[in-house]
Amino acid sequence: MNTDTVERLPRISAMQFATMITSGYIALGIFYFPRQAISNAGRAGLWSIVLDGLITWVLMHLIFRVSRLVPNETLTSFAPKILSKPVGFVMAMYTIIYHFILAIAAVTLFGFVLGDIFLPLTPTWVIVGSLVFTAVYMGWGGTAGLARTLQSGYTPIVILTSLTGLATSLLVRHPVLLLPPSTFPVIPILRGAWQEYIIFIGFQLAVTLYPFIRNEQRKQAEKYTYIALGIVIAILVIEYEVMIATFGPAYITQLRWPLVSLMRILSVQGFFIDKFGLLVVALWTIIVAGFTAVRLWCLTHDTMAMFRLKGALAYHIVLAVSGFALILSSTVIPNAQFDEMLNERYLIPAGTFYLVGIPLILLPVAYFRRKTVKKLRTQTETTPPPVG
Amino acid sequence: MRFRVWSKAITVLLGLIFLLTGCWGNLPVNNRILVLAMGIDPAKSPNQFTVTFQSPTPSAVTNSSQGSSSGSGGQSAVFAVKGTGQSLEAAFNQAQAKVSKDLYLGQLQLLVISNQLKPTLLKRAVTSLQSIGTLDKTPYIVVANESAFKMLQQTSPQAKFPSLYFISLFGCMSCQTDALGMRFWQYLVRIDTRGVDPYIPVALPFSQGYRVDRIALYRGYHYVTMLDPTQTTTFGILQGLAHKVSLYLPKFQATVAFLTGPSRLTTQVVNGQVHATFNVHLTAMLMGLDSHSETTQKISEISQMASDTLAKRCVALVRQLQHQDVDPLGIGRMLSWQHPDTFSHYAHWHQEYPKVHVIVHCVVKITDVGTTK
Repeated sequence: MNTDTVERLPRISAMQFATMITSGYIALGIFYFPRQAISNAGRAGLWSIVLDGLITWVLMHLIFRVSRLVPNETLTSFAPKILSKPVGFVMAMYTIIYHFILAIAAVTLFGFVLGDIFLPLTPTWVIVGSLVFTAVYMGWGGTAGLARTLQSGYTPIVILTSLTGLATSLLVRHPVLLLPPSTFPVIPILRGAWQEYIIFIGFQLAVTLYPFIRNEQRKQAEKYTYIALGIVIAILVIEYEVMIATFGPAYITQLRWPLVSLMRILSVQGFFIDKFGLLVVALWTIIVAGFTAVRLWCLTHDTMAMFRLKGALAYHIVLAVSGFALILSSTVIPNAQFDEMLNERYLIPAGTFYLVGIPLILLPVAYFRRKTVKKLRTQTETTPPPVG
Repeated sequence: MRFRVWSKAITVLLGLIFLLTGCWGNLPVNNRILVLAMGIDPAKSPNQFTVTFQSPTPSAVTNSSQGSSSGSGGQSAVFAVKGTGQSLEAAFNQAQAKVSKDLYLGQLQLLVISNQLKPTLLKRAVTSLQSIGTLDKTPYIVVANESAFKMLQQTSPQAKFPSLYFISLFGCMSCQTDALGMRFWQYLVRIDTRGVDPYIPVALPFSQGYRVDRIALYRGYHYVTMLDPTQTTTFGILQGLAHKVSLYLPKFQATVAFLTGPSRLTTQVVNGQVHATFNVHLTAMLMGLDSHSETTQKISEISQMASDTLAKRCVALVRQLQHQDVDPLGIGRMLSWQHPDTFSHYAHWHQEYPKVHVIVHCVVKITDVGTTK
């Protein structure tokens, strides 16, 4: 039972937190998966995926440690109090801009995918517009409402996609490729892991979302998030194996969106929808809408924390303006190739820098400014959870 | 208060502008010609090809949905539009100009290519086909001897449209001697993978429909040859695709039928020489032997003879393929998977391929005697 004095934020459960964090990544990278890993490391690209998973686990651990410093405040809110205002301001700006560009890359990419397969006559900005509008609507009700929407929409689609992924194992043509690769070319594996890391970029929203967990469920929320990460890695490994044993490594490197290609060749004869895989690709709209909604939510909260805005009206205005800006900005990206270049050249380095940089800066400074941190912790909660 | 209501209403209306855009590129199916089969032939002018877009007639579609199997008043169930050009897109434009509805390729089920198509033209066509977003790369691909257009003109009493015939044939494993069906994406995989060459089933029209018992072999985009029916069944055995292959043994006056089973290819490098081993394990039914002579020893002898005969056939076929410098069995591909370092040393696999030492282990196990399935 929570006996703390401050309960100012609407709270979410441990499972909702894990769902929101999971929906905050994978959506963007899943389209390219596993082309970059295979292009660099061939069959040994499997180790790139596993390595990415391990790195994410470590970074997630560090990010949770940062969040536990002041568990009732978002990073944008407490960082200036620990690091000084200018540094905190730079960090907040970085977070906001990064969330924004990541969201642009994701919605535009999905706009291109949908346009290419289903809506060749519809302009991309229109597809992006409807996607963003849906995302804004999902986030309109606030944290708890968004979390519940994700639980009822995102999770079933992920489960359906996973089951469909298992069904694609019927397409396997070369079972010999299911054997784990026996070679470990270190540099290609690392290069593959780096370029494939876009799949996990985005879980840093944990620093904004952490204060919204119900106090007594924080530990459980972290545990569920780790379990969800394990499930994601397991699904990726299965998909990797199925794809490589279906197409072979050489052909995958020729495909722009390998997983979409795999889904498109999946047909269930006799079923009321013959091209079942295409249906699943269409349903991914919900996953990308979830990703966008979570990102817009983060963007809104970070902006509000930075400019000290409060109240439901401010939240709605910032959310709607962010969504509108997202639609306008997406028109800057001319094609899918540019979107991919944006990911590889800017979003992966900037995201990794953020994920590594935040704990590396905040944790040592917090250690040396123990008194300040203690004061901040007890201001909002009488018995906050231990940091370590 | 009134401002709030109005602002909400305006927001909803603005949102609907986006949410109702599903109708943006909407085209009713009545305004579309759903192309089910497409044939590609060389045109009279060099460096050009003629593309045939075949679609069912509206009456045939209506009859089909109502379960009728006959044509309406003896009219053809399909119609074709042709276009010629230096690119697929140019041919498409010409064909589109001849019809009043939208030629739609998103429902394509069959792709027929002529074996007379030059490699440059075939490559151009395949590259264009890959870039059509609405085409999901699942149509079956077949080769026509000389003219794809003529092949598409052939009708079969078993199916209303050529595309339906081939979907029915290739979709049913037990309906074929060998499961030769090749989807477009499977063809693309072979084209884009080093160490393996594409093969495509050949559809030969005859008075009652089509005969599909041969394959055309390609080296990349170059048409090389067509295997005869016996060689095709042997190829099927080596690929693990055999389903209803039979072998008559004159010495015993008996037939080993329904030969089916997997084939496993492994590669080894022995003193710099590449060895390829096919392990073929087939089950079969013995037919034609009278019940008095069905002894265990005799069945064993027949089994042994069938194994030896098939192994010899397989070796002969692989040697022929090596001689023709075409690798549809994917020996090079398997080498690249099992011994990537060795394979990467070969700048051109086709220079090394004819030197590969091939071994075929074939075991025929007779599981049933004297009955028909």
